[in-house]
Amino acid sequence: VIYVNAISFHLPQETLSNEAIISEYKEYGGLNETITPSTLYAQCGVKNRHICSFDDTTKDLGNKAAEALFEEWNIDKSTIDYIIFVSDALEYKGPTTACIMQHNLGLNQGIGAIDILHGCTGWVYGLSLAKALIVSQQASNVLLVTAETPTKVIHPIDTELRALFSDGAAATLVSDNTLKNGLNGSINNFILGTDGSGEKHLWTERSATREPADIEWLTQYKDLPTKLLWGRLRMKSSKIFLFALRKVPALIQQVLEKNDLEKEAIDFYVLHQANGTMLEFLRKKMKIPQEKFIITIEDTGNTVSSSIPLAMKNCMDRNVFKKGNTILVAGFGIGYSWGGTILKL
Amino acid sequence: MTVIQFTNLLEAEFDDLEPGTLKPDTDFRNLDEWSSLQALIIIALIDSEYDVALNDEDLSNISTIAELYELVKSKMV
Repeated sequence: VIYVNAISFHLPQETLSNEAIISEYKEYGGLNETITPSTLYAQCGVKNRHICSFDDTTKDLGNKAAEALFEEWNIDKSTIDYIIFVSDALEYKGPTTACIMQHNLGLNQGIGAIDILHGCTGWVYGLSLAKALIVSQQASNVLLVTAETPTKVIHPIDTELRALFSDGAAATLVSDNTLKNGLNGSINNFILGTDGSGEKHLWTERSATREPADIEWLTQYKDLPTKLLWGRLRMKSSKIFLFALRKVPALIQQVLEKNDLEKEAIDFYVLHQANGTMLEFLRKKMKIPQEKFIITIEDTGNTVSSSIPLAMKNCMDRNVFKKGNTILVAGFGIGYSWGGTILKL
Repeated sequence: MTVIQFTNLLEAEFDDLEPGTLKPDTDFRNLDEWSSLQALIIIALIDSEYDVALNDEDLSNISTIAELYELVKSKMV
């Protein structure tokens, strides 16, 4: 049996309110007077986000989440024998960010290290790979770190994106043993799915090898706080909304079938915290009772690959989960990509 | 896009509608399956397929699929 033993996280200290989003929107040329703090909140159910400092990267946030994991759960880091780093914003084209983290975190040299470039489905991919590594006896204790800094690639004028996204990192320990006082949720069967036709509906333009940012492109953004040095996030929200509406109910059904479970057997649904308003919409469409459907986006925003572990940890800290609970976790979004599995506590 | 194609596209977004139920002269407001959630789906569908952004008010001023089709066409660039 393979377990999710423990989860910890790190969020940058600086926060961003709906009021601040609007004042920056106006400062950088926004003219639409109908955008107010309450319309932003109604769009996505977020009041506060966390903002990574200019000099910090996803790796820095990820390292802090990993340190928090070792500390909070009393984990001996010398037992880690594989590190997986999940992010859309890696340090370099080479070396692998997870390799650098081995050194930063003081992990053993006799370990595997790999990056997974994935967004909203990233944590599910991390669990899926970690489980496969352990089942095939290539590792026993996998450190899975997810980290994202979407606010660095958002223009202040794009209030819809600013309202939604938030920076943060989570660290998850996956192993073939239970951890003392740990979560110890066994990882069951996975469903994964991909539709690359969604490439241009949610993407970071000018962020890598395809049409890299040139001087002309960068110059137009030189006065912005982030200067958009790492590209610009673009989203066609109606496309994403319809994608989620079509895929998520089917994904949940497939995860249930793959695990021989009826809908009633699920105690909690912990989905990627994409957008609070959209999640509520999906919940109603799927007729899932409110108390079983976790929405924790209000003060943390959409942290991309860290949103599921953040929501999980939020529930753990509030003692929402009980021994014996069955939890369905599912990620979906950029790619398009989707995936889910069952955790049994 | 013809009014028939448009009608079929919309029909596919209703979960529990028998194929062929939706016709250009159907008053969508009178459908059992019509709801504020369904309105949001239709608004998203039209934005996604035709790059036309409608709001609730636009929808409240019309009642048949054919009228909706004309409205979308008039707003397409």
